Amino acid sequence: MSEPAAAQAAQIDLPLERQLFEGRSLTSGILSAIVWLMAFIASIPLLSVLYMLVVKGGSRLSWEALSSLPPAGFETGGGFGNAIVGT
Amino acid sequence: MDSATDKGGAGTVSAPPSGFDYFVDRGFRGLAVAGAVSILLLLALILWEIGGKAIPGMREHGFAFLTGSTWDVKNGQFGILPAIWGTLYSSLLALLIGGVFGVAMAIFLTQDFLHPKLAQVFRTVVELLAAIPSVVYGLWGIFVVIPAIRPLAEWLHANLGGIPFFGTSLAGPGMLPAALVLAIMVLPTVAAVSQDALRQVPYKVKEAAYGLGTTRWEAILRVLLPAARNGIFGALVLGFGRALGETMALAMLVGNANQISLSLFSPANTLAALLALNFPEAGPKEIPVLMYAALVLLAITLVVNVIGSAIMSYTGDKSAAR
Repeated sequence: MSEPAAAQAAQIDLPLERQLFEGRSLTSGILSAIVWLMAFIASIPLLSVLYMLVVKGGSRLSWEALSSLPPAGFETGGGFGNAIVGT
Repeated sequence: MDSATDKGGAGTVSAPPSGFDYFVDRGFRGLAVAGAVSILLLLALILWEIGGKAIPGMREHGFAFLTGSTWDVKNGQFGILPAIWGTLYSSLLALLIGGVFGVAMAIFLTQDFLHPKLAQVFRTVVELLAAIPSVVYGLWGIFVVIPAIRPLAEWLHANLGGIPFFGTSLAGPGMLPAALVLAIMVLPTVAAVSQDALRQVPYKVKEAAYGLGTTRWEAILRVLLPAARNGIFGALVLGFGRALGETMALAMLVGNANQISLSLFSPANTLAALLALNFPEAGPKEIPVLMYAALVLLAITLVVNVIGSAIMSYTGDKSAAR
């Protein structure tokens, strides 16, 4: 770039500050919002799995369930101690 | 033990390696080579074993096995085209969803969107998704995902039934719940490997981009992602491989119906689910056929991995030349 052109460019008031609603900033903001949203959607499954397990299974959690053998047919009680040892 | 005292001696700075040193060196080398070779041998053994048991099935059914679509044990008619279709369709859908979310997650966690400590928490949450056993995912799919997507699926079928993707109603297990759960299982893999790739881009590169006046997303989309694309592509290939071989959750969710349909709501089948569900009660007639199917699954996975690494080395050479 030649000297006069550079001097001219300096005189012109260059818009060096980024405006909030300029196209590029807007795109950037929208993409950021989308990624935030996606991150939260992606963490829903974990919470959902934990919620399902605790709500449906939490009430039956006891020492007996963890330690004793499965009940025979038509009986209640017992647990899955054998499965835990096996695992 | 002589060597240790030699090295530690006050007067001597160095000593030639003793016989014991040579022995340890050679011995370790031998062990390492044996370990490496035994991995190859193990793979060869698996191939030989499955291949050997599959030969009767291959002889009897030939290529018709790959194109047939009936599975009739009584009449000895076997075809796995629906299972091949289901395997590829479910894996592609899962990769599409899980890949987009996984890469987004990787960007979110590496590009300073969060305070570093909070990002670490989020990272752990995503990694925990990989620690959930696949049976639990299957149960979760049955009890949570299917009821949750049923209203949407019914609405889509009622209003947009003309589109092949929504052509049937959701009866329960089907392609969409299977693909969704599979996507969640693929996501941690894709996210973790993509994060590594993004973190390996030198910080200077990002600073240079910002210095040129880019916005955050211009830097991400035009500088960081192209620089990390090899690693991200590798992440997608790994994720696809995992999706192809996933068994238990799919066996519980995909519906196990031998039909080929584009519809997201119709039950389908996959090779891994077919194998898992048919082996326990397989008779002598079925075992060679199932081994044949296992060989086909192995071949598909192998081809995907080979294509993946071929593309990766191709693009890798190009970026290295720049």
